[in-house]
Amino acid sequence: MEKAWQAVPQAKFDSLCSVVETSLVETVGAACGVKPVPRGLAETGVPFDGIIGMMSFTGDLPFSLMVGLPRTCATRMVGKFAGFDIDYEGPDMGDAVGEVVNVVAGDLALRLDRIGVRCQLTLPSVARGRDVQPLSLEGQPESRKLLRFEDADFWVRVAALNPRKSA
Amino acid sequence: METVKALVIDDSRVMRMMVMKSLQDSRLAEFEFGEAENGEDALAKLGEEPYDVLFVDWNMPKMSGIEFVRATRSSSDYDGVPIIMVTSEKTMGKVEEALDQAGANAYICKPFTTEELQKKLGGIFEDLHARK
Repeated sequence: MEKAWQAVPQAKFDSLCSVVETSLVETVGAACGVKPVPRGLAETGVPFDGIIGMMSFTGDLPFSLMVGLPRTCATRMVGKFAGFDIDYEGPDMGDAVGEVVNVVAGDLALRLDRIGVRCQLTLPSVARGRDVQPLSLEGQPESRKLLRFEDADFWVRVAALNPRKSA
Repeated sequence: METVKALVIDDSRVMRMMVMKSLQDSRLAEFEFGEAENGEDALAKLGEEPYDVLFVDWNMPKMSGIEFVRATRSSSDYDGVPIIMVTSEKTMGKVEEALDQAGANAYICKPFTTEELQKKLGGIFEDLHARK
């Protein structure tokens, strides 16, 4: 069966990932008072215990953004973001992680707009669990980067696709 | 300082709390807050009691912030009530859509500081106090 999408050129994808990382570092830094520090590539296929914030972007370059926050990192980051402590197990934690992703997404959309890539934000989704393992679609360009927030690591995943034009 | 009734409209409870806390810290007014989870909920609340100022997120389910602003401005009941967007949407297109087309009075980008609120909203609150 023919796929409904086609691969994004690697150079374009690499450029997108670079903008995502910059946006994440600067926005979380501004919102939380602590800039995350990039630490290279994250391991794939490793389940983790934590909370994932997700957002999809439509427009010139459709892509998805996932931010994976292990428990300790999530608690610290949202505490600094909100200005008050939030219980990891409570409903406000998901709300707060969604807002962190939302704020990053807004900055990211602006940076992309400035380089001529128009995109629309969707509403964020959040999942919390143990042994969570985000899976990849075959052939879909994907990047997972590791960052450190204070002394706790987290990861960001970008996956892109271009819808195939209909005949 | 006069008491100002403010309706904070955002689908995120955490963000509503952050907005309310920042507004209290700004000392632009003594605030009495109402909350709504989306544009539809906000319209219902406006039908129940009057508010002096509205703070609106953009991306919300059921009725977005921009749809709410348009609906509010098309009604003569809320003429003159300041509407302030508080949103992560930052592109010039969105800012223009909110301010020039839909009729919002001010635009605050998330994340924001208390100082930014004071700087951007000072004039609006001076007018509000003068009218009371």
